[in-house]
Amino acid sequence: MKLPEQRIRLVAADPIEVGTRRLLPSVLVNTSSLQSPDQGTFHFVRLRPASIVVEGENSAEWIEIPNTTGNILSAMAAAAAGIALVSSLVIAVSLFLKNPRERR
Amino acid sequence: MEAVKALFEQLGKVPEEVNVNAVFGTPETIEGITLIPVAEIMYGFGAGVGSGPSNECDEASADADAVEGKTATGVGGGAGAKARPIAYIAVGPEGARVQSIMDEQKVALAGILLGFWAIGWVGLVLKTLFTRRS
Repeated sequence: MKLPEQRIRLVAADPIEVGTRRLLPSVLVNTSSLQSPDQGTFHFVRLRPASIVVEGENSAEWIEIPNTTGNILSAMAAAAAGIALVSSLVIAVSLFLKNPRERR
Repeated sequence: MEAVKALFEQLGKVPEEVNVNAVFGTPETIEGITLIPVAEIMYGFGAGVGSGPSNECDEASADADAVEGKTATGVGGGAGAKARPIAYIAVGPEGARVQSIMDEQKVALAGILLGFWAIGWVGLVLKTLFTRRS
């Protein structure tokens, strides 16, 4: 069975002119694809803005574009995994201490 | 069948022509500040084809032997796209800044689920700790 091909690329978008400033955006392109004449085909593309470089007359500044929702959801997922891990450890230790046969 | 394969090949070329500029919206200037909306874009599509022996009887002939060797082909597919605003860039006289946009509905839902998850685990731990063995 053929596995999907996954590619992650950082692509520069067209510059945006705002007054005397020039914004140079970059986009993270995540592509998953499977192309098989027998199994079928699928393509999934995710475009996520990564950062912009603001060019002034005399200076340039790099600004990251944060994914606040994604970061919060990742933190919550990590907290959920941590709660499950700690609770499982407490339950396992508790059961071990309560069972005298296993203590020997 | 050849036409379906050709269609699959054409579909496969679409992601190579992704326009990354679609992530950044049209700049709008309001009271001297230029706002540029920024969105996360996701899209996908899939298609499949399958063939197998046909169970349908030939109307012209009721002879079961005539059905043997016949195949049927089915094709299906689907597509979807989603754009979600994640931030806007504000460019003013003092410089440029990025203001992120939080999806409050999603975060609230995840928070409620995390709360139930935590309560469930704490309940299980307390039940284990305070249950007397017979």
